Amino acid sequence: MKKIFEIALGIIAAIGGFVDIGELVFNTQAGADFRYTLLWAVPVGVIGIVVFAEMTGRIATVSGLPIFDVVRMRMGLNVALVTLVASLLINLITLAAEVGGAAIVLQLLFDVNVSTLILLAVVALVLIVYFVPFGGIERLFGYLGCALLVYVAAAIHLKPDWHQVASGLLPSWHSSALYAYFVVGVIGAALVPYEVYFYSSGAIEDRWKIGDLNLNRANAILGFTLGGILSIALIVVAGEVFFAPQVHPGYLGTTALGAERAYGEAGLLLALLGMLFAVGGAAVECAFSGAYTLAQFAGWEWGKYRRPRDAPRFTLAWLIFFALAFVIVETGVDPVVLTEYAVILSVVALPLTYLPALLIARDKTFMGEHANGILANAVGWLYLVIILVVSVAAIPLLLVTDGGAV
Amino acid sequence: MTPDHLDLVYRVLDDQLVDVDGRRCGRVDDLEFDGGPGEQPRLSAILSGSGMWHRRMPRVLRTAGARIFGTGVLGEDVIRVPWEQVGDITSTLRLKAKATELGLAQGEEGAARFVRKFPKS
Amino acid sequence: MADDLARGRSKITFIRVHGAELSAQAQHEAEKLNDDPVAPSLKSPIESAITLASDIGGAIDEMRVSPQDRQQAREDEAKLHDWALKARKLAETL
Repeated sequence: MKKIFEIALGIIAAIGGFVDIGELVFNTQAGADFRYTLLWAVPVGVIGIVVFAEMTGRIATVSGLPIFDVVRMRMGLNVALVTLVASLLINLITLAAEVGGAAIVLQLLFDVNVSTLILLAVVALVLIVYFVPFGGIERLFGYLGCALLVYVAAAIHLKPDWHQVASGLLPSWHSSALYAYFVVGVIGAALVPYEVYFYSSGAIEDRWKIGDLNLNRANAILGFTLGGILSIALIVVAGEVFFAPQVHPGYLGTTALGAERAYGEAGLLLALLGMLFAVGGAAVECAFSGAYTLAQFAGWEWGKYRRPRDAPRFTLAWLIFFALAFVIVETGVDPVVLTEYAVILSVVALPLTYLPALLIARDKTFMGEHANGILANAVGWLYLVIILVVSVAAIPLLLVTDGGAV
Repeated sequence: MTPDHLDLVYRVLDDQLVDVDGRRCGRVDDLEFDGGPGEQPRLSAILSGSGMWHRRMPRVLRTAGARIFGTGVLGEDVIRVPWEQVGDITSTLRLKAKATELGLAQGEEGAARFVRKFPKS
Repeated sequence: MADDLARGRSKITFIRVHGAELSAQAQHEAEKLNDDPVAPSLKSPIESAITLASDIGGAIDEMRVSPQDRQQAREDEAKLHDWALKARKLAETL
């Protein structure tokens, strides 16, 4: 019974923790520009993250080592160094985008000078991360992020043409660079590497053992799948509210407007609350992800389960990441623009993490009886192809569409 | 426990070092062998530290690597751990002594002195 | 946004902050249209576009100043709707 309860709580936290600023931006724009015709890209991204996260969670549970640790061990110094540099850079940009996003949401709620709110957001996040235990952090942001379920309710309330919505879930193609850009963006927003580094290290933080393999599977499959429903809801709401008047949402406020159209002030407040905690939780994941990868690369002690003085370089690492993100956001750079670059660059770097994870997950000498079975291998290889295609197309599409503007 | 030479790269190099108290304390960044010409080489020690990294980088990056990560000065950016100090080899290399006794805790000690000033650290 | 404000379905801080973002965007577009060199044949539609952008920004600013005035919001909503249609027609002719 306790196990079922634990699984249920984990799933709820995963739902609320699934959406970050990347999904908020890309899914809203996808719905506004293409109505429901990009819906099929969401399950493609979600299945990808389920496969990726389940593999890395399984690797961590069986070996006691998180994915980056294993990459360092099995792929050697040079591959790990390239992966480290790429992921630290992308993490930092993403962290800045999330912090900036949190500040914008706070401003929409309280109308205070944004510089002050950026500082407030960073200080609040640092204090929460420093003083609250790991499990508490996951639950706080995960549960409150579930306020975004207002978009699922709104999607139903706005009475879309369900026949068209269903058609949108079947793969289709428009021969436009902008459409292709959003396919990459929607898939990329779901498949961000920082989430996998966090999930995998989180398995060690939560002290998962072999008996927790089912918990890993449930969290990954149910949690991310249900989180994907949030992404679908964002596209449907945007499609209903913004497509007809040809609004191209370039602000988080516009995304929130979608929920307001369905439920007025209550919808707006739930949307903003959900965004704040989803984006705040993502910021924490980013900062930790960076600190995990750095510590695991160098072999330092790491983990929130350690006291700060017992993992001092790890502690200083995530503090410094927050400080750097603060500096970046205070320059006035638009978090929505940062998000677009962060997601696209993440997609480019994705094969660097995914391929080692796949090779290790299917390695029987390393994983024993818990290595990938036939189905896991088949889906794993299929997704490698998808990831490579998306990764190669990302930068050219970013340039040709001028970041989704044309 | 002495792994055969085929296993050293696969099972030992780049592995996480864990001391007798279960604390992570670096990685196996290089291996040291004894033995002169004509003699059977014998694994004598682990070398751990960023000072060894530049030697494993592509030739064009070695100078920059040495400048950034260290040149391999024993006791500074590289620590030598005698092979006799290695206990179990599983997914990590378990050492028989504490990290502080083996000289592997220098970096953490420096950072810890700063972090200890934080509340509830 | 104007429609929700007119029906009392929004939050004042949201109108003020998001409204400021949108009005700044409109202002920015007006400035870009004004500053960029333009072919003589496009002079008239560009001037119409600049006027539209300024008018849109102005209406949004009115709502931001008096978000409690639902009648004002209703009038602004009608005007904004009209200007949106004009902007779309203008874009289609170019």
